[in-house]
Amino acid sequence: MGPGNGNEDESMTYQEFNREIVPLKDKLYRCALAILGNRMDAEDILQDTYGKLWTLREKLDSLDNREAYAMRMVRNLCLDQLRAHRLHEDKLEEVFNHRTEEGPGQQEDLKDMDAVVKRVIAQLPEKPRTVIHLRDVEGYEMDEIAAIVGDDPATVRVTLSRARKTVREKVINIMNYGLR
Amino acid sequence: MAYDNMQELERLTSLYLEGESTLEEETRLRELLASLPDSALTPEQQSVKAMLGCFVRMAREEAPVEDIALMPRVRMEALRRSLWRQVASVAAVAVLGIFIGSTLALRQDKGSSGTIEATARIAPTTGDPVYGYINGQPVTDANVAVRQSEEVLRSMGMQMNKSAGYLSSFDGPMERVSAALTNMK
Repeated sequence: MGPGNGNEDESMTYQEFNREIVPLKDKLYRCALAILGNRMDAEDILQDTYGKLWTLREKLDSLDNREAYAMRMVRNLCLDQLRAHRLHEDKLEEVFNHRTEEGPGQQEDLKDMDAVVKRVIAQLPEKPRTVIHLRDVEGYEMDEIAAIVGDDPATVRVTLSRARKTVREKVINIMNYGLR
Repeated sequence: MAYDNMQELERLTSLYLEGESTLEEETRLRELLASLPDSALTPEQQSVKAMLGCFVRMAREEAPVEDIALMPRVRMEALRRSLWRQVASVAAVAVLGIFIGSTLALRQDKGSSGTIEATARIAPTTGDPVYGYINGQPVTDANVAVRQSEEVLRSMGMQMNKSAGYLSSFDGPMERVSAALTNMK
């Protein structure tokens, strides 16, 4: 499809998509990974998200913040998947708790502080987990996070504070006493 | 550590934990913590240092997807995944057949003789009725067999809906190809 064939608008849309939406893939993938905790599922969500974004590319033109829109879409698809697989928070918590009760090999892994922090974050409920990821890993402003998770910025601030304090406390406990 | 730095560290740590820090203050906090050995920090500051260090490394993780800019390839990949799921569904149908067959036989037999053991296949070693197999393991509980049948049906329904969605996404490109071919004539 080249210039002069009467389809310049469509060509521009495709170029814009590649320029503005495709580079978000790493952020979108990390967000899905933070919510789902599984790389294959996160990759599936990324594929689904780009399929939907491509279908909705004309709508993207009219959006002020396309990145927040894409991120919100990823979160919604992740939540749909969690619901579809009946992996509610209780079930997730049960899975993570089960993992933390594993044997000596697991203790070896947790000497790595990154593994400790990731595990503690994975034990948070979905919303604080997403909020702390969006702020501390991706560096979004409060109003952008509010738009993604559907809360007002003040609520996001409270959620973020509680999440950070919870992670800090658990990391201190693990540093002092090992895994509980 | 200089007194000023210590005061700044305490102030920034407090702001961070309250969710009141700006992105610039968080960057400064990370730099301050990284410049100090753990022995110079309180346990609280050490844990925040571990968190912030981990977040930086998490932010470097990249999506394991190549050539995502080539949307048709992305969509073909999605379709390929879907097709593999279809194959899995076919395999599931075979399992389903065993369960449904066993379940129907079970119900028919209940109507005629009222005994379960007479309808299901009997395991030679234990003598228990076997309604099907999960991962090669015999299922001897009729309730488990029914639940498994329901689960397979539910999963198949979800996959078929998703595949229909992928296929419909080819409608637009196909129309454009047809139009281009018409213009060439």
